[in-house]
Amino acid sequence: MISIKRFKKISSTNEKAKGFKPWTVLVAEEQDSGYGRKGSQWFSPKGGLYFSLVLPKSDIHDLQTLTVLTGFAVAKTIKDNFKLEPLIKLPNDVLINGKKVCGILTENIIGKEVKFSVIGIGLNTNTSSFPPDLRESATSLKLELKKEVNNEKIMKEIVSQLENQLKTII
Amino acid sequence: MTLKITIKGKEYAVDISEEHGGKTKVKLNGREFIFDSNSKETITEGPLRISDFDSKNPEKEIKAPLNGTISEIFVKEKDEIKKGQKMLTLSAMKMENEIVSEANGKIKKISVQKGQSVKEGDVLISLL
Repeated sequence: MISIKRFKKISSTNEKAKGFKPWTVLVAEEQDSGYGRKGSQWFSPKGGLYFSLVLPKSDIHDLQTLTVLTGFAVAKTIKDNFKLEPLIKLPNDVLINGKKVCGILTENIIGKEVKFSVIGIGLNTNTSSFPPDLRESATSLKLELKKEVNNEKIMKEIVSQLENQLKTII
Repeated sequence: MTLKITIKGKEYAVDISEEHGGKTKVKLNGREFIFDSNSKETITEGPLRISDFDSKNPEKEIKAPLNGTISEIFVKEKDEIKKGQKMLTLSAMKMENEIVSEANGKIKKISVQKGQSVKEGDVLISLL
């Protein structure tokens, strides 16, 4: 049911995802203009994991659940695969040792009702270093583990968990 | 075809046309009123006021679906907009919500500003 579209480099997986059907995952190796809430920039160099999932319409009062479930799926995947203790900073960040390793941006397209949603996940997996203004607040799995991780495996595991979790409310 | 009629010295431009689904559109001095020929409503005799028409064809209003803050406005008053066009984004519950138009139309009034807090149900934009 899930369809995965892969890109070497795009502006933003969330922006691109708005033209795709529900249950499509767009994954990019690099983003030119990755963004978070209120248009803030998301540092997206090669090595990190950047993907978005398009979801069909849901009840407007369930929307916040989408972000929370995504945070849970990301944290669980990290905990299940690595000797790390992720902390979900509700509703949309995942931290390791007090530093942000993942940001989640849910965007909803709403007319009279919710038409569809896009959940964007920026996970610092194999990011080797951060610019000075992020060094104190951001980390990556590679920096924490002192080794590289498998982006494809992590992405598929998060998507699989999300699919199972979200089907209960969509 | 536009008819010009004069009532008590005041001139009105009236344009009547057929719409989809057996509906009739009456344009009166630029304002549109849609009548449904299948309607079972009883029309009573007596003077009709503009407010009678308004209640049958309420102004299209875009309302806040959630409590939140207006993070961006992409349209301005008098803009012609198309169905599905992004009009503004509402930041709510740490999500960004794109509010899109459900119909083609023209922006009559924008009732909010960037950065303004709104409550669910508040009117954000009115369409002609």
